[in-house]
Formats: sequence, C-alpha cells, structure tokens
Amino acid sequence: MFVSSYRVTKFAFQNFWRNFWLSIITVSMLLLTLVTINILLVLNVVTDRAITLVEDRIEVSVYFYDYTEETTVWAAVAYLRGLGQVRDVETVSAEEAYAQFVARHANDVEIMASLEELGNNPFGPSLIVKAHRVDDFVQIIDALDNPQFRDFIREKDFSDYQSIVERIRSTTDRVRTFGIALAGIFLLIAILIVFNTVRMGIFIHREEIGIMRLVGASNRFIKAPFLLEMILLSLISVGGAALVVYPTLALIEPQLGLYFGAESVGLVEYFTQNSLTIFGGQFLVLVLVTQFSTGLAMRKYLKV
Amino acid sequence: MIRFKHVSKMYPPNIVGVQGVSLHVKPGEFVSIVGKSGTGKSTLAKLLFAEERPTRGMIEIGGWDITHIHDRDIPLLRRQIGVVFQDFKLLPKKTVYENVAFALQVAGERSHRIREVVPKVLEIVNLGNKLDRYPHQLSGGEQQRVAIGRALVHSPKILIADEPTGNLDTLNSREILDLLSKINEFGTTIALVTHDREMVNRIRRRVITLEDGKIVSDVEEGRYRL
Repeated sequence: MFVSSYRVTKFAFQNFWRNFWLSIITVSMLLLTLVTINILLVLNVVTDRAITLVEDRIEVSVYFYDYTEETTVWAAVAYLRGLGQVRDVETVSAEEAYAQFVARHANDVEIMASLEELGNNPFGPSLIVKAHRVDDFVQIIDALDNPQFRDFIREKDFSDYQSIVERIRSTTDRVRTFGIALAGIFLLIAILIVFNTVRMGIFIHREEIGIMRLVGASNRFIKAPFLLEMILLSLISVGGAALVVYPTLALIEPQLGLYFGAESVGLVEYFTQNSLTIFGGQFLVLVLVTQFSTGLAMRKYLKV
Repeated sequence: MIRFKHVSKMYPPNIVGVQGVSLHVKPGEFVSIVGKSGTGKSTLAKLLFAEERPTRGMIEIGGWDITHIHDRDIPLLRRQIGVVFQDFKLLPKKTVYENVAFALQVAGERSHRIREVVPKVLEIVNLGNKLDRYPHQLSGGEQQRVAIGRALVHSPKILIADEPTGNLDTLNSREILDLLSKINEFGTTIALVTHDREMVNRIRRRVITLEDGKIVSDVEEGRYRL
C-alpha cells in the first residue's frame, strides 16, 4: 500500500514535470478563478464594514421647544429606551445646546451678536436617538408622534441614511453579480483546461499506460497519478492565491482605512482569522471540481 | 492450463474473429498457433489475456473461468500471464533494467524484491551485462529479449508470444525461439502465435492451425502446413 502510494505520487510528479507548461496554464486559470472569488470575499467584507460604518452614524435628533419641562424630556427618554429599535438615547439639555452653539460659533461675530440680542437661551433640550438598524428609523419617527410628546417636539431631524445604505448595497450587489458570473466563467474555463490537461497527459503517456495494463497494473494505479496531479495543481493554485491575496490586502488596507476613517478595515485580520475556512474551503471545492473534470477526461480517453 | 469451449468472437457488424474454437493446452506445453493473416490468431491470443471478451463459449485459464472476467480482476490475470509482441512495446526513455522493473513497480512489488528479481531475469534472457542500455542501443533480438524478460518477472505460468519474431532476422529469430524453449523447459506453458514457417518447423511441438477463425488442424509435433 505504502509502496504503491509512493509510486503513484512519483508518477503524479512526473506527469506534472513532463507537462510543465500545460500544468502552468492550468494553475494560472485555477489561480485566476480563486483570485476572483477572493476579490468577491474582500468586497463582501468591505461592504459589511461600510454598512456598519453608516449604520453606526445613524441617529435621529429630536428638538424640543424651549418651554418643555425636564420631566417630559425624561419621560420621552424612558419611552424611547423602551422601544426595541432604539440602541441608545443621548440627552442634550438647553444649556448644553447653548454652550455647544457658542463654542461652535465663537469666532462668528455676527452670530454671537444676534445671540446676545436675543437675551435668553433660545435653545430647547434635544435628544440624539441611535437605532440598531437603518430600517428601524421609520418606526422610531412614528413612535415620536405619540400625543404625550408630539406637542413638545419642534423638529425631528435625520439624514436619509437608508438611501445611502441602499446605494451601497445595490452597487455591491451589481459588482458581486458580475464577480460571480466572472468566477463562473473562469471556473468553466478551468474545468475545460483541466480536462484538456488530463487528455494531453493520457496522450503523452499512452505507451506507458498500455504497458502498465499489459503487465497487470490495477486500474486504480493507472488512474491515481492523474487524480493526484490535479490535487497537486489545486494545492499550488490555492497556495498561489494566498500569496497574491495577503500582500495585496496589506497594500490596500491602509488606503481603505483612510476612506473609512479608521486605522484598519480588518481585511488582513479577517483573512488570517478565517484562513483555514477560506483557503481550506477553496482547496476542497477546487479538488472536487478538478477531480470531476479529471474523471470525465479519464472516462472518455483512458480505457482501462 | 488453458481451456477453450466453443469460443466465438464476433466484431460488429458481422465480422468473425474466431468461431467455435475448442482446445485444451496442458501445463508445460509449447503450442504454436499458426495461420495466415486475418485468420484469428491474434484474436485468440487477445482472448487469452482478456484484451477481448468472447461473444460465445467459455474460456478457462488455470481453472479460472475468465469468460466474463470483471475489469478489476484483469490485472490479477495479467500478472499470471506474460505477453510479448512483435513491436516489443518497450519504453524508449527507460533502460533495460528500468523497463523490466517497471512491470513489478506498477504491480506494487517492493523495491528490494525488484532489485533481487530483475537482474536474475535479465541473466536468464542473457542481458545481464546490458542493464543500463536504452532500447535504441540494442538490436531487435535484444529488445525482444528485454520484452520477454519483462513478461517473466511475475513468474507467469503462461507466456503468450504474439509474432515475437515478426521484426527480426533469421539469426535473432532463432535466438528468441531458443529462449522460449528454455523458458518452456523451466515449466512455463508457451503459446506462440506465428506465421513464421521456419520457427514452427524447427520447434516440432504441438501446432494448432487456424483458418477463417476455425481450428482446421491440431497436431502434436506438427509442422507448418499452409
């Protein structure tokens, strides 16, 4: 068993070297497919990060009239905190609002003069409400129409983050669909190339295979080197994909960080933490695909 | 050792390979199967090592009914039958030693056993001093002796030689014939498929003559009579 395995491995390596350029073409195609799949994966992570980033910034500002009692404001806070859609409620008192306004416009003489002219604090208390998800917005806004608070609320202000998120999603969905189609095409080409590589291998070794059959080599022994060669090519392709993906991610991550206003988007970290799942999974799928293609080629061209 | 019972082999659409062949070859026999081209000699040989399956009848090798042999059992059969061909079927990029060792390697034989057996076999075929030569560095007769050596490494009970002297001159043909006789003396059953009149007449052993896929004569100590 061990002896046969050793010889099958040896023959598989021989096939690889004898068909060197064909093997390189096969690996290149498999590599291209894997890189495309990994780009899709990166896109997925980046989209998730972008949406999380936008969702983190979602907030509804609720401005009360300046005559609103503090108890009403606290009742509104308690009411909002009781809602499942609300993640956090921050209170800004009239004094804090005034202080913030003054700090923001300290250098604007005209504004400061106008404020002084008013004589008293024109600001009322306000709340900053954060939601769990962008879809929760509408319900929070609707909830604030409660008659208990409606008459004290001067303004409810929120930016239309939902449309931003939807734009991100629709763009990435389009890119993703294109990527999946591209990966599918590459995979199909890879299957055909694997099929052709095996066919060529059988053709090149036809003399040897004929003699193997003649002297009593088992069918398994004749077929195994072709199957093993494709496992080897799959392994090289996955290794190559990892070698392409990691440095590229390390290179683009700081740029993405700048865009997202964070130190790291966590791409390298994500790929490192999930390396076994990502590259192990890709290797397994590649092995399945190449074995299927090799099986077809052997069935057609290798009569044992 | 070999038993054919009413064996026929037809090829589509309606071509006769062999028809109604019945024969019995005893262990240690030397049988020449002769006939003109296209009379079914090679078909008969192919039926013996299961390269072809019979359309009708029954074939038994060493008590093993191989009429409907399963694909997975064919390698086992071929390790018990040595086969040599007119075109030698050697691997040009392997040395004499490697060509013979190849038969054992692909059958899963252990390396130390290969190192032990191959030189002995090459001594028997008188090529002990040419282990490192490549086929193109050998004469036709020597190449055929390598092929015979390769056929012998599994210590087969039967050796089928399909036109082994077809590509050789008279001198080399005689050498091969002498070698086959020597192997037969060791107890291996030989089935020699040939249309070489001189060889058959020289051996003076059993001769089975085929014509249009049928046995027309089966004579102990026969001669080539076509």
